[in-house]
Amino acid sequence: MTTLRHIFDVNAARIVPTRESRKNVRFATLSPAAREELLSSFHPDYKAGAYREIRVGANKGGRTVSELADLLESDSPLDAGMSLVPDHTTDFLVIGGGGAGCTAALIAHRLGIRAMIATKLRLGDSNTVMAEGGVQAAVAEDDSPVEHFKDAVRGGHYKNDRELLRVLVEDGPEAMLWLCDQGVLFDREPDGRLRVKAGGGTSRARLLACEDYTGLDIMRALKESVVHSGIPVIEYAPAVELLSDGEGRCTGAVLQPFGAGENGRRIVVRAKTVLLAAGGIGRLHFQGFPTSNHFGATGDALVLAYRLGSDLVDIDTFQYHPTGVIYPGFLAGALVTEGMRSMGAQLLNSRGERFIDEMETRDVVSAAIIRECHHGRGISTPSGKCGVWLDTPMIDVTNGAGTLQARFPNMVRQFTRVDLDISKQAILVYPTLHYQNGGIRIDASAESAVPNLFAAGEATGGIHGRNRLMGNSLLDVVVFGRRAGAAAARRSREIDHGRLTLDHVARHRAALKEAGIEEPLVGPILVPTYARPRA
Amino acid sequence: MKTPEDQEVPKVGVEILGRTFQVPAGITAVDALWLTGHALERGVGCLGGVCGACTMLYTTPGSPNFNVGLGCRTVITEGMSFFPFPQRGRSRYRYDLSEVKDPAGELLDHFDRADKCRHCHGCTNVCPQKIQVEEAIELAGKGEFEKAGEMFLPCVMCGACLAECPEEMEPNHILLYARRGFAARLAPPPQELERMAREIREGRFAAAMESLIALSDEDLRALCEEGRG
Repeated sequence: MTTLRHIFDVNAARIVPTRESRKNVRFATLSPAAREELLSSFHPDYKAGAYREIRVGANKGGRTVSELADLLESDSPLDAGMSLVPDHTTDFLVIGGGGAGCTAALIAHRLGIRAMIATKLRLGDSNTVMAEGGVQAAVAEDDSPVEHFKDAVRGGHYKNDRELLRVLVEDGPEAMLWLCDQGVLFDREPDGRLRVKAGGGTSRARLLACEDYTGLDIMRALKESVVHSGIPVIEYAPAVELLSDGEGRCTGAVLQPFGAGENGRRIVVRAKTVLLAAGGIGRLHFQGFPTSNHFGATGDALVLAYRLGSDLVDIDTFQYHPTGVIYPGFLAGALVTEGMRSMGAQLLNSRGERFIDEMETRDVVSAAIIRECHHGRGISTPSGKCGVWLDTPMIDVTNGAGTLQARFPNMVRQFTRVDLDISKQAILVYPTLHYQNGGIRIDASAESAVPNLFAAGEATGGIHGRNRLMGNSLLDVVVFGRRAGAAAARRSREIDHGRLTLDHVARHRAALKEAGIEEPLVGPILVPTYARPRA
Repeated sequence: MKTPEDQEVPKVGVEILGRTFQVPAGITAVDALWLTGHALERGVGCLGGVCGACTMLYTTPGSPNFNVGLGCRTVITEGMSFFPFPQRGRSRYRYDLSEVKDPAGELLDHFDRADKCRHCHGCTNVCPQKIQVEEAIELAGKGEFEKAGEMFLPCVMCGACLAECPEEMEPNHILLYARRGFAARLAPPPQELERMAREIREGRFAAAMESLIALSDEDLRALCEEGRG
């Protein structure tokens, strides 16, 4: 079997000798017009054939990728006449046990509100735990929330919801202090100051990190906090439908524990307020892309909110992270953190030439990689795929021997397991489906268009516009998780429990019928079906 | 649909839960489970080597020892035999970090068996992340929380050391306590964050932010692209 090392050895003569001369040389930045041209020619968001019109619901007439359109038009697994006698009653039901869900539950719990978490896999199994590079918060002398805002709105192609973005950047430092109180340990300089680094599209060094285990350190602390605070957690129990009072307000949810079977026992939870913090969609593998997402990322939050009448924003745009592993196959889709590029790792095509400013925004870098492969300047893998080199040894060439190991122990470990030394040899990368830029529309209190239904984290849209910058999603889950927890706590004090109905399911079914949609999928799908290895 | 990889890849024999299967070389234990018809909902998590959900026990021919690995990152080799690690129990201990004043001094108050290590190396031997768990526990016991917390960083909380420890010390939870305690109480206060949060509260950026938000799309674009190539 051809190994990655073998492919590299064949190409090494075009890569290794030029390393010294490439050191600290910044590739020319593209003009705004050239960026747009590159995106419209090669970014997957612009592939018209992959998209179709949505035929029912609040976004009817809008477009999204056909895989997601199928899900928004899916039918509920529930019988609209099922018994809705509650198994649990709580003030605040949190759906999703990742960063946003745990944060919101902890905040509400501290405010004296009864919170409960229901999660599809285990508490903490999420995209949060996988975040590597860091989290943005303006702390440097030359930085401010204003600069942070400008970078993020530029990255989002000026389509961000400006009020939400303002909340993100202004709540950021306070939210990071809260994380420190939860026991998250951000890297420091030898003198004790916080260490900050640059990310793609940031004009200032603004990323706080825990080496390349940032999400792990955050998730571990939040999870321990939730468990120790005694907040009830129901694991392996994905939500399959929200409940409403019949007058448009959310009043609870129905959970369907794994292993219960098609007509198995479901769990009815009655709640004054509900938070959808169930993350993104990578495991739907749009356009056949591999993904960096966790196993449960199947777009459930979008499906549930949509059926209850919430509208979705920017669901026609997704983030394909430029540097997903493309070979060996079993690592396909796995992420190589952008932090590596900010520390000097460069992208090279099959001729050993650079082709893009590595610190451009993710959408632009991804489009450039796809362009290189399209024009025959990629490197073919034995599995019939194509990729470009990420020259990781440049990190040590640029910053001194040992930097790679010291700053990216997670990355080094992932490759050491398969006997590859990435301080010596480059790796093959190609864009991987990474993030849902859009999602459920929320206000500054994280409430959706459906009263008493809140949403936070990747499930939401508007904050990041049409492209999210590195380090703004970890920030998003904490900032809006905190906002959602506080707002839901306030609301839960003001109101009583409502009636539990599935009226909206009947309405949705009627709409499907009217639109002539026969034999829709049953959704949410909850887990992907893998009958063969990922490759 | 056959890919070229399928055609040229040799098969290897693997034993899963006592049954033998032929699978393509170069795939992971989780892939092998899927490929052999084991639909997994439990025992799969991030698929990125950081959540610990797919922890498994395995043996290889010629070695008498059990190994612990992450199923999504362990490549199948000829003759390997594996089974998923049983569901982990939760920690017996409870503490509220906000109430902890002196993390090192209070260690035994929160983890009453933290001084019971008999140096069997079990925790270190089973760690799929190759953390020197026993050494880190010893450092934590001496109050060296910074170093212990640093060694603990790659821990995915798979719980293998918790299951292995004959003294039921819960090494992973002790080290998580050490790292969190150090972060919240012993590390230098994050003054830059405190300063910025205060300045935002006091409204230092409010006017600039409001005028930024009020800009037309065109003016906002011109301002943000300024000096950026």
